[in-house]
Amino acid sequence: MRKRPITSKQFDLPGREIGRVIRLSILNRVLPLGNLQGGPGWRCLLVLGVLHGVGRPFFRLLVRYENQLTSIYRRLRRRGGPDQ
Amino acid sequence: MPWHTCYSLASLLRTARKLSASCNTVTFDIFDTLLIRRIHDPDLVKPAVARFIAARARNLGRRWTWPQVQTLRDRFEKEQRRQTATRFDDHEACYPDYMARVLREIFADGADERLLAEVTDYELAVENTMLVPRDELVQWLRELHAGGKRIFLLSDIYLPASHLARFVEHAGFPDCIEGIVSSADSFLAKASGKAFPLLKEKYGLSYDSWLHVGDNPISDGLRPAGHGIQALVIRDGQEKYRKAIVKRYVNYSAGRPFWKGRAVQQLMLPLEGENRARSFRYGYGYTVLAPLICAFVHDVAKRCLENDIPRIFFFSREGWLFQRVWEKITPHLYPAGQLPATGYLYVSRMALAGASCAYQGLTRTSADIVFLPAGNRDFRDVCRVFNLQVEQLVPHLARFGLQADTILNPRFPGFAPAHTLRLYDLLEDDSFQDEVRRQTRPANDALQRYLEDSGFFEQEQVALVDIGWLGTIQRFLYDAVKHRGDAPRFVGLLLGASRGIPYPATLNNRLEGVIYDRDRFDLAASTIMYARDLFEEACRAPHPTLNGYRLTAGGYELVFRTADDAMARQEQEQNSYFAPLQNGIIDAAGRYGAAMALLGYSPEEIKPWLRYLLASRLAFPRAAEVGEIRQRHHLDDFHGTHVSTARKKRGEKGLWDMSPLVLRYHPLIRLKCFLSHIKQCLRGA
Repeated sequence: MRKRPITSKQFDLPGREIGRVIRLSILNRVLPLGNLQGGPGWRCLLVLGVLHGVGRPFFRLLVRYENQLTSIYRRLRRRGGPDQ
Repeated sequence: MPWHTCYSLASLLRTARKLSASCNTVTFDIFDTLLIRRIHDPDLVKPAVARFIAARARNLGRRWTWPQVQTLRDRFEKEQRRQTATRFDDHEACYPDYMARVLREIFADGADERLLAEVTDYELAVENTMLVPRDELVQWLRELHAGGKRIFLLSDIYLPASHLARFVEHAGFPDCIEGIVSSADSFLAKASGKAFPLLKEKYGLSYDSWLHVGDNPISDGLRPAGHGIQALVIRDGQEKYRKAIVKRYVNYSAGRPFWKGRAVQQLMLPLEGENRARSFRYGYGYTVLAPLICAFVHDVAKRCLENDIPRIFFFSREGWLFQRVWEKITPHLYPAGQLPATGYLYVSRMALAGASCAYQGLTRTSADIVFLPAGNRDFRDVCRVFNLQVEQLVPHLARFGLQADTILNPRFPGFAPAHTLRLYDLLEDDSFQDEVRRQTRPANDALQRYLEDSGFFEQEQVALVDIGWLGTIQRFLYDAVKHRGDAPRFVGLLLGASRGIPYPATLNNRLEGVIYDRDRFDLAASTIMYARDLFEEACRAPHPTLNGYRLTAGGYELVFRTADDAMARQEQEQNSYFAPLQNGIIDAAGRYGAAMALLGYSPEEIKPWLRYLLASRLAFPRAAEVGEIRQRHHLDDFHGTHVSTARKKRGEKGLWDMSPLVLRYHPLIRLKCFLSHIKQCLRGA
């Protein structure tokens, strides 16, 4: 196997670890693999899968609009409820 | 004057090279410009320091928890910022001032300059583990310095310039920097723009030929531009992406323990210049074996501290790597010290087997252990393992209807259960045992002298660290020394305890598997048994195995295997093959210690992730991984050279013994092996 940097461009472990976690989590629903203390959680897997998978070009594009996106996010959070 | 914003490092350097041509002064912001942080939130360093202070307070009998220390620090820092805000535009604080207050509050009269220096050293050391120089930017900085430009560093932070200089020194470019200015010294910050006139007056600079580079649009863009300084602001999408990922892992860990180990590994990842192209084996050692082995050694340290064990001995040869990992991780994890002393003991099953018989003779269990490996067949193998002279034992064998080559292993044709019964009767014979004791006594005497020299008998209990699997080395060692009044209590800590043969645990002699123990049902951790040889080869020292202990005129000598035979050459080839893997483990160990110290996790907390690693890499590995990692050769002197003609039962072949074709193209082979493994675990095999 050829030499590669440890940290991938998607800042994941070598061998696309997030994909491996997703596959093993699906298998864990069918066959007990062991005590994973609640496992990774599907929402976490989805967010991390998207981040590692397609986050790189998105961040490159969206960093120019960081201030605008941050203020939209803050407004949405405030609208979400008084306890947000 | 408008400032320039660049959205990537490449475009920043292009623009900066053009602008700097007409400048003779270049100033840089430090954090997130010249130096990036592995962690997304710089405040995460503070709890680690709070834990350090709390541990020191506990050592002096003062009851302070780390959240209390952190709350005190935050309060005093806020108070100082409120005070400086009454006199200056910037609400700055100075670390030595408020930290000295914190220490006086906690330690009273015990808080002196030395203690402040110690806490400061620790905080700066933790910061340094999280800081990485930005390779390309530092390279440009060196070019500027070589071109005769004046270079200064500016930072709005609570750390004074003398502390920041230590970061620069650690990053490796102090020779290029003319001066460092921190808002903590003068309470004048870039945020209000007051830091720039300060620098101008102090060093006689001119705004006209001055370029400033930073990451904050206000402090590094608007304010310097307001003075007529050319300003470049970097808003790096890739950095924000990296930090977003780290933030997710750390935040998810709070609610889902599964992600804690993954968060640690994210902080362990090499960045910038550290992230060079490496071989697959190095990467495997760094990302798969290192977390497992480091967590094991970390747990050993924790258990020894909890049980007040004053001394740890790492058993050769796998203990060599465990000791290297210990040296790397413990300064980060236990900076307050008070760890047990460590030592490396040259031992092996072959060396200890004979010595273990010197007082108790050859026991039934010891004889049974000989016939566990498939290559041991008859009494000659017993003599080989226990270093006995077979010729002097033949008359004793004859009295019980045995010969030296009577088959004693059921795997070989010609075996009969009656052979084993006769062997057991032989073991009950006093004259046979007297002969065994006579032959093995010199080896035991040499062992005693070696252990005395190593300080083995100087404490009441010792921790013995080994890879596993039956605990045979500890068993033989205990048998060899238990007759002594000063023999310490043995606390065995193994990476994995398979318990194939019951271990005779007593109060004075017990052992436990840390990552895997068959007595604690843990399905994922049990997958370690898929590839035991992998762990042995990964951890093994590069020196030859020990064959025995020999008495000499001067005392004793350790007899190492020196045979330059095919097996020795194969072992050397295996050592070279796995050297990158070991380097990966050792390189990762320091980062593991730093990451765990920062996040404050115990080894138990990252076990869910370690179980995932074991299951995914050992039970469900990729074919290419097995092909690369499977060892070429595995030396085992305990194992005889006889080859059993009995056909291997179907299903006895493990996943890691399968051919590459089967691994690649059989769609359900891993599932099949795992189901078989589950059956074995449930049966208690």
